[in-house]
Amino acid sequence: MARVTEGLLYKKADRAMSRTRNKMLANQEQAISGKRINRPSDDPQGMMRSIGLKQKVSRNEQALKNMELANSYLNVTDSSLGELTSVLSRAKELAVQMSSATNQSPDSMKAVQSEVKELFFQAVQLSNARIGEHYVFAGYQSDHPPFDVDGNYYGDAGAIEIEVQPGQRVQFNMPGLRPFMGVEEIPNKNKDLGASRGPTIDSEFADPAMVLAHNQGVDLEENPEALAGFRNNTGVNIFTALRTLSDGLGSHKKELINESLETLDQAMSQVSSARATVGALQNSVIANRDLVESQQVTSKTLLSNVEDADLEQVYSDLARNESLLKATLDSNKKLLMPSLLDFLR
Amino acid sequence: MSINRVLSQGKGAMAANQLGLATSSHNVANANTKGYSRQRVDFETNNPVTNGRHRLGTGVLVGKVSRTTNHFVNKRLEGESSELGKYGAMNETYVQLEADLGSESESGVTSRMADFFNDLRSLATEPSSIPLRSAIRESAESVVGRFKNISSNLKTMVTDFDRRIETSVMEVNSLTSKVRELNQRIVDTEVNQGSYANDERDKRDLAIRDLSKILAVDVTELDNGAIAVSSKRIGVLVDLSTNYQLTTTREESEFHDTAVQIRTLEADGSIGKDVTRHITSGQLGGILESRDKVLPGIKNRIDTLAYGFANSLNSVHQQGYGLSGQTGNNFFDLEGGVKDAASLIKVSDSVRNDLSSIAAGEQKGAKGDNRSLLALADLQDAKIFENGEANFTDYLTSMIGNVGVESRSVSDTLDTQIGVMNQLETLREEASGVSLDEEAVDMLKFKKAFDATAKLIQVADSMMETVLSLKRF
Repeated sequence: MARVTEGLLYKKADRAMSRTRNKMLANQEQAISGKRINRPSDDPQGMMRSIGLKQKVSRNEQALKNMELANSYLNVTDSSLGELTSVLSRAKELAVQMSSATNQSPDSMKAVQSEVKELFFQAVQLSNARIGEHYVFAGYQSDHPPFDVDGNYYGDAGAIEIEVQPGQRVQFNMPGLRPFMGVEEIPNKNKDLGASRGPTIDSEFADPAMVLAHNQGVDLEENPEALAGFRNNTGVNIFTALRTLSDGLGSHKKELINESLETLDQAMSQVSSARATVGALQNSVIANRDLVESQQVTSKTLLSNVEDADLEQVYSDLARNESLLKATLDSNKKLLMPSLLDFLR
Repeated sequence: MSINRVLSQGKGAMAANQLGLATSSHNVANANTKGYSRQRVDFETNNPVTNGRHRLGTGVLVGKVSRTTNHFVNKRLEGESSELGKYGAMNETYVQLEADLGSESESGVTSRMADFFNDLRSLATEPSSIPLRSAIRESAESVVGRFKNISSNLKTMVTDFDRRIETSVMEVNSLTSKVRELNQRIVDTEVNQGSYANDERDKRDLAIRDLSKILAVDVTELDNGAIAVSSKRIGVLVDLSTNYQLTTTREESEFHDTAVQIRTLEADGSIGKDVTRHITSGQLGGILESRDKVLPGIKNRIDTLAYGFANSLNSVHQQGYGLSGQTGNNFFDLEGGVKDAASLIKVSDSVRNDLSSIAAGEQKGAKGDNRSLLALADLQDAKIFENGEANFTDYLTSMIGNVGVESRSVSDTLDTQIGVMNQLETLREEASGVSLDEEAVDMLKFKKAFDATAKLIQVADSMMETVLSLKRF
């Protein structure tokens, strides 16, 4: 039979209490933090997953903010192009009136011309639409107006992108080249247009084919016949079209008015095609936003599964350990009290 | 003659029972003394004498006062103390590391880096915004701050370990000299005076146990009762009458610029060989393993991360253009290689002094160009570590995962070890512990015997009186 000494009893009691107290401490920590994982050793795999998920959540949050902004950019772009369409259709209406009417007095021609000038001015204003300090049609040159009062382009072909999902980007601007200048394809995004911007090449940029040639690095002075090849790939310069109409009205030249009638038609379809592209970008942003939002829900649920404590479990454990502690204390009280000395009186 | 014998036997018996009571009282007094083994008096019968045809007993003889101890359990306690010491020290290290790195999921390097990359993406939507640029600078400072914080915590831990090593070595020296002193007293008591040196042996056992906790030792008991203590690959610490000291020196080490190393101290006071890497057990072993294996591994990871972070961002940042056309600038300044990168990294002066120098675009003078920013933000996914297998987050989280796994295994081992120690201590307590009930019984026993002996003397006395009264007529 083993000897039982007082020292043994005290040690046992001490150990039992500290074991229970330790368990309660762990329960308490979970109850207070609400987390199942409070240090890496609680669940190394879970900790690693939770860090990964948190990164994903915070990155997606940023992507959502980005998409919000991209959306407002595209909205401004779209509504500007919408208004541009009404400007062009009013110009066309006037051109039709002026070309079909047999007898036009110079005075009425003059009046219509001044309205067309006003329309030109409106088109320039629309081309310089902006959000805050950012001109939406300026490409990368978004800190200054892309068009001057004569409709010369000072922006570039820069496509501004943002990340909508890890590793996936969407463009959220439309350089003015396409809707206003008719340069349909923007072949070389990385082409440094900025270096050659400024008054010296104004005339060059009035002709979409020239812009395209320039973009592709073709030197037209050396090789002037190449320009014809680019003509087929380009649309019309809206400002040129309006100016042609205005000039025709000013100089009473019917053939100019008729010419502008044709280019205005082209211009309108050019703008609506650009608008369609903007719409597609908007759709892409919205689709991505919906996707990311639903991913956020999933990630957050996963995160909660990984790291959140099951509070009911924690509290019931806590209650159980508490009663265990009480039982230990109680039994210790009974066990530690008596000794033979208590009875030898 | 025989009445005198009763008297003298009575005297002996009273003395013996008093000794028994004294031993009981010594036991009770030391019931809570650490390392105390309960003692008992061995009584034996005195040499009998032959009286005519009778062989008469001559009373009680007090043998030796001896201690009850389980030698085997004591031996095991020494061995397991070393393990307990080692895992206790390792566990402390991991608890501290986890406290430092554990906040990783809330506000650690990875989440600060994520904020930094997010701020880059924010700026990408508005590349010329000064407030957003300022936010990037802040979040870059915050990443740098966390790097510095971790590396300075690691450095503090090393300093702390150095201090603990010095204290432990001092403790080893004081314990070995205590053992030497006790050796001498035990030999003196047992060889020269012929009695057991119970209390000294208890103290020496305790000293050896304390010593084992710091450093595993081999103990051999010599014939004269002294013990020789040695430690594997360090050499003899105590022999008969000499203890050999250890000493600490601060010198260059393989893992740290300078660190406290443990060396032997020769008899002539000169400093001997370096034994640091031979110490693999006990508290010292645990501290050394933490300092020279665990921490350097973690430090290297953090440094590599900081180095990779600074350099990959710099190489992209240099290609881009700032708002006023600045190019070729670093985002982070970092001199030297991987070593100490986490403590040396800082936000470059150009970025610190001029927000417009943060490169946003690849095209000079285009203030809406965000391609550099996007390229910088894409580095978040760049797998530049582990031979192109891991990005920043992977690299750090796998380390945190490792720390967690190691920490868990160390604390599990420690729990097991504590369990083993508890078992052994229970066994020791069963053999050597003082039971107050037992002592109470003994006290009664000795007291009754004492009373009875006194009665006997009284009887003898009255007999003597009767005899003396015979001659009175």
